[in-house]
Amino acid sequence: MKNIQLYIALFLFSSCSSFIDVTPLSDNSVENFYKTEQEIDQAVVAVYDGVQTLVRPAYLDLFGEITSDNSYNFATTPNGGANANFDNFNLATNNTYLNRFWTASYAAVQRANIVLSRMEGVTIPEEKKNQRKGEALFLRSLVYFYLVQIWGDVPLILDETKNPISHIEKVRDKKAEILTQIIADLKIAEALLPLSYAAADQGRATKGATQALLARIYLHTKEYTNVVEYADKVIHSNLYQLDTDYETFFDTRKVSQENIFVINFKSGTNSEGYPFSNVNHDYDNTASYDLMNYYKNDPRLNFNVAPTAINTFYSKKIHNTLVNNDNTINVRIIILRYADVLLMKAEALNNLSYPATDALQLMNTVRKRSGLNELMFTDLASKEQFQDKLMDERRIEFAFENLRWFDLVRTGMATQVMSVKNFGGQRENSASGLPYTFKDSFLLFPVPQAQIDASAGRLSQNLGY
Amino acid sequence: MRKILFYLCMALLSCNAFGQSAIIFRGTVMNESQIPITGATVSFRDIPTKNTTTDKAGQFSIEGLPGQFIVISSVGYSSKTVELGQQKSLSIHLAADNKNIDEVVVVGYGSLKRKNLTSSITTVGAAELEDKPVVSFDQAIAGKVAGVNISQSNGAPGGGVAINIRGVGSITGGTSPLYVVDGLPLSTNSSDRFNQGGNNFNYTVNPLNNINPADILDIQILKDAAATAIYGSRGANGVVIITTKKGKGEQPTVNLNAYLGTSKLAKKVDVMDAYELANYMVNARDIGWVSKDPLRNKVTDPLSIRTIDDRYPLFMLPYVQGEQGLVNTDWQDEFYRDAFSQNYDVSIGGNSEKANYYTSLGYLNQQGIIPNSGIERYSARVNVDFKLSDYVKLGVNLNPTYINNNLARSEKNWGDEGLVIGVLMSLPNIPAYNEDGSFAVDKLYETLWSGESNVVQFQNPLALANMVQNRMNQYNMIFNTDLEISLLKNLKFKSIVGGNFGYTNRKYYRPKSLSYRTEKAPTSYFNFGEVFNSTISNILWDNSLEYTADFGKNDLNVVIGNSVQREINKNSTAEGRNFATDNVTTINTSQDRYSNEQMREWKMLSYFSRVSYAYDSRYLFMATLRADGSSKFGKKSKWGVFPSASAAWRISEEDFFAKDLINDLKVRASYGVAGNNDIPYYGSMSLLSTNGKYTIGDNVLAGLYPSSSPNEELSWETTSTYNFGFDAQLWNSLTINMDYYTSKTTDLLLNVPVPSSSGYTESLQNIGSLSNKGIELGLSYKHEFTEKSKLSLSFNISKNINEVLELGPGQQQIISSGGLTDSHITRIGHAIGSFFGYKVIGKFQNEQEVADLAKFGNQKVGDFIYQDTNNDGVVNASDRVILGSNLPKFEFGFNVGYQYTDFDLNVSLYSKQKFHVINTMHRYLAEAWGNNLSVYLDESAPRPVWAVGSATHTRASSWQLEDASFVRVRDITLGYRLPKSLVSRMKINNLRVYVAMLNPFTWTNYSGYNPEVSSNFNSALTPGEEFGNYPVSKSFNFGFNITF
Repeated sequence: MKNIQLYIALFLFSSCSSFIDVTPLSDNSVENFYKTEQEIDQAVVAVYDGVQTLVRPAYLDLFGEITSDNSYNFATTPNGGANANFDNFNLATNNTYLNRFWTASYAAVQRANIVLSRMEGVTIPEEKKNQRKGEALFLRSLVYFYLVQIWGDVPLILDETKNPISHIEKVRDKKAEILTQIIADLKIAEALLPLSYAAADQGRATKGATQALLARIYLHTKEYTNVVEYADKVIHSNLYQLDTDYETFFDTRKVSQENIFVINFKSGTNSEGYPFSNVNHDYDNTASYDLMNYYKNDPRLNFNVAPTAINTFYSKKIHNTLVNNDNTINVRIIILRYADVLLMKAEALNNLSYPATDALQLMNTVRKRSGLNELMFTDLASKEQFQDKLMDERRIEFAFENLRWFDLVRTGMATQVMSVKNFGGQRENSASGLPYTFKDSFLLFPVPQAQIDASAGRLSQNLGY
Repeated sequence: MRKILFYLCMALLSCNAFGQSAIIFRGTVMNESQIPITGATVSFRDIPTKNTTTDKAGQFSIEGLPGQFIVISSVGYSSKTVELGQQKSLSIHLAADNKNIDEVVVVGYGSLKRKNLTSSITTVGAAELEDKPVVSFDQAIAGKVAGVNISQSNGAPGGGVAINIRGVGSITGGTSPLYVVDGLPLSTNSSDRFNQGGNNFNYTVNPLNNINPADILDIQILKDAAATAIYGSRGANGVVIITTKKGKGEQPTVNLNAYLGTSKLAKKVDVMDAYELANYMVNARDIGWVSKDPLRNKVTDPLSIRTIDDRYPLFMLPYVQGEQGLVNTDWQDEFYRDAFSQNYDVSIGGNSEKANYYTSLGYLNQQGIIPNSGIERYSARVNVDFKLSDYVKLGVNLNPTYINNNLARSEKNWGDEGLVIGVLMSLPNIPAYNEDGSFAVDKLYETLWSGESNVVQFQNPLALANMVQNRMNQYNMIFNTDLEISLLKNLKFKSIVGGNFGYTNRKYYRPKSLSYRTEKAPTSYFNFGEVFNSTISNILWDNSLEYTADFGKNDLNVVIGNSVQREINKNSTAEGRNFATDNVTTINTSQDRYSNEQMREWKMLSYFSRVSYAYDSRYLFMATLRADGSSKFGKKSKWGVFPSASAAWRISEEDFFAKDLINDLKVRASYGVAGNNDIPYYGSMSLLSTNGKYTIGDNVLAGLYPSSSPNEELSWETTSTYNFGFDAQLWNSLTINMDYYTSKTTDLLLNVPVPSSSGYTESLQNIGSLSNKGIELGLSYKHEFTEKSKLSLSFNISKNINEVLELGPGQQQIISSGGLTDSHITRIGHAIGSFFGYKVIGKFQNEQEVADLAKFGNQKVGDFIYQDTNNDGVVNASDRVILGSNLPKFEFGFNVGYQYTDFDLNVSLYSKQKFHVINTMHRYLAEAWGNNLSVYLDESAPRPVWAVGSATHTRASSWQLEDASFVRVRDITLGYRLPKSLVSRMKINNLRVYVAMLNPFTWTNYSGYNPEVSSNFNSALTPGEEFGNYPVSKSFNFGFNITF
């Protein structure tokens, strides 16, 4: 009897708090993951996936191409729809794609931040650890560079979020501060990342990718000497070269030595293919009449676009004619490639001094690959003429590669190009072609209203919205 | 020593009567319905130890002397004292008394004398549940308890019943009370999607179906926080304590109850007949055609030059031309059936010195009014208590059930083949059957496929109901073992081990032989099968010590204990498409297969204590304290503490109180804190998605990333309640209970949008608050006109005011969509889930009005005029206003029982007043696409639309909102007890036959099937929506009770 009483007392008053700690049975949780090398590897894969979501479903092309003079959204809804509003500068602050891109970007940043913070305590061979860290830094910097090009100042988040509600307090950090951060990060990544990978790891960030991205950032900040320095690093690595054929370079989706960094989409049962809107005419990213007219004699145009059944032109760079069962396609969306490095260097050299023979030679190298004639300084009588021609080259060479709008903005051409051409009138069948009056405030996109609301007004809006 | 004294006294007392010779008195004890009371105690008032009990016939015999008094008492009845006289044969009637002053009330972890209660607890006795042809007890007590809002939100047999005690106390957490059966809290999750599967039907099945109402002894409804706080983090929505029956009487008593009944559709919805529809549709299609190009298109244009959307079916033409005698199908008549139901319960119970036993078997088969739907239940119960020694008692309760639910896909929209909306939309111009008697299938599809006209694409609902298989089989076992050990004279140790095990198996099959609107039979893609299995394992172990002391005028009761509970749910699904044949429907014969599996677990560790103290039955105090540690709570808030305190004063026991008019009066006050732990499993943790896949090399690699947002401080919702009330009894016959309460719920669980810079878009937070305030009044009255004519009345009325006080940071409102976009709003300062939309103030009568008045987009003549509430000259989203609420302003219930000789009559009705329902059937029954509500023929209706693109009818507005106030007669029962002389020859003690009607009358102006409807069951944000929900039925039943 006494024993029973003792047990009862023990049971009643013993504290067994660990009893109520549980581990989820059907999911991994942050708390019990990120413990092994393999788990860190899987976390890194998720960062690539996060960057992939910027292309789809977050529609990087709305920002990079459709807003520009290159393409438009073939939408038939009466008011143009949320996509078309990018084209006709009719952006409401609650446009769904604005918030989608912002959200996808920071989701990718969070995934990178998790890798960077969680890998520290995990036993991973040094070389591998460095590489993983470099990949995360590269990917995070890439995302931030898109963010600052689109919105200017944005919150700079470098640590894993453990208490989401605390972000209500976050305000926008200065663009310059973010650029300084990502330049520093990329330089660290440059030192950590290998030059290349074995076949099984193809597609991961490389030293060359960080260097090419640095060149692009310096071009944005107009630090031309640095552009040349980092472009040269890529060039002198001797790992990259122009593909021999502009057409098959895209058409075969092959692993090419011209590619420096791409976003991979693979069709199949894994739901990793690139989704498209319509089998007959992908209307998300339709070539503008301006692009079609301006380059009708350039052989690259026909490699860039193909006609649809309804007499619009879709991008061949993205859309293989082959349609898979799962309504997705295999595609490598190019982020950085060798031709870009060459033209970036050419642009920098021209800006440093005119005439720069190397600059002309670089531009001609790219032209010759597509069977175009060599240009002479006689055709390009001033620094400005050279620059203009170079921008033309970039437009056609990189059409549909999500560079055009950012090129227009960084060179200061956007206001003139978009005002003069006012693409509205040319596309009367498309609601996307509503007329607009270009304003300088359009150079930055509006901060999504949902974000301003979620921060209870602490995040500020860009001017003009 | 004590015993010796006791025997001495007894001997002395009996000596008193020694001089006279004792006589044997025989008697029968019966209740007011002339039913013998078994096990009643018959004792001498002055010699309580000299006693006997009645046998199964209610009979007793006792030796005594004229002039002595005997006291007859039985649980649940008022005791009666009778003076023995010359008559040796006695007939004694005991009046049922739920409010018996010495009655014991089961409260959390123990029981208390009712007279000592300080909190708000309402008891519903077995009598209220008897003769009610319902599947679960909750359906029988609607309108019987003040402050308890019970809605038959779905008419399916065994479908869910929504219960809210004292208002809606949560926005996103559950609002159902905690059910405790014989000390065992039932799983609160057994009716959620995780355990019942989600894809193919819209309503969940009531978890209370597992308890046969015939086995219930009584139900205690704990309403205020002083009563519920001892259930801690599960008490905030109220607690319903169910106690099952025990054996009575030394001789085994056998009870047999049976009923048979039929039920049918309680009310039809008024839709157009074939002629009305043909004219309406032709008109609508003409308008649609002309509006496409008003300059060129004319009403007289032949169908051949129009598009498919502007053509009407050719079979409409003869109707328009006035040809008589054409097909005019009333689909509701064709579809709904007279459903048959039967129920049998048999129980045996008894009580001996060593053991008390009650065991029962039940079979219920209740067909639904939708063909091929219904519920079948096999249930059993074994309740046994053993007295192992003077110190040790052991009890075992076992309650296995098997339920076979035949579900109808009633609740979905037409696109998901929801039957109820589909029946209403089906064109009356086409027949239900072919001439050979087979279902006329594909008629509407053919009209579309041939390009003749674009009409509602709904398969013959009779074919759908009969050919689609949709079953849910549930196996459930509720069990508990309780051990009670008397450690000291006043100290008892009690330990309960119990739980429930449940297994659910669902099977769905849509045959190959039935066309789908996008695929002609034999189908391959829409030939679809699913099997879903889930298990629940819920184990509980409670230990407690109870100390009771009665010294002088002091009455002390202390309970202290702990509880551990663990629940694991598992489910798995297999789905298949494109089966080889319809003959075999197991997934292995399908070509494309998919499977899924999930598990979850929840654990709780609790400590609780209750102290109650009464002085002289005048000053009453109670305090409780509970601490709950739950696995659902965040790391930094693992433990919740829930205190309560209450006090009462029985003024009537004071010397100064004259008991002439008021014979009992008690005032009560209480304060308590309870919680709602209905937060998602693992809700505080950041879970990883495995969808972060990416192609590296040429291989798709798995990537994991956090997909849900962490919150280490996630905790319960907290409700603190003040309650003030009084209980009074007047003239020994009128009982009054009145309560006023005010409660505030804080830490509401809300998914708050957070800045995406966090990497997340929303975060589950304890933020926001709401309040419920209300008043409840219950009256009951009993009167005996004569020995043969007795009346009992009870009435209750309650009012609750709900107000949202605070939402997320900077958040003023949450707009939610039910069947119509943005139809509901939860706004600070208003009731939760209010109706929201445009206010219709008329319709545009002419072009001038269209030009002059504020309008929405390019509205035309015949469209609704919406009120421009902000007077800015246009109608747009910012003109939407709060239009009403689904929460009744007040509700009342009224019950009458009257007994005359061997006849008894019971009527109960209840009412909810001043509330609205949004009739979302307007969304589909307004487009001249399928059939339409008849209201569209009305003068106030807008112009016919189809493909006009105006959306005029379907924008959430006051047009769809209806006052749903109603008075419903819930049941009428008329019983007759056969004369004893007749039945005793058959060795029967009692035989009563009865007829019972359920839902016989409902008075309401609401035009839909059911004013209590709620399409989004248990969603506090979108209540009160009728969107093709299983209609309620009315039933007529015949039954009998036999006692051997």
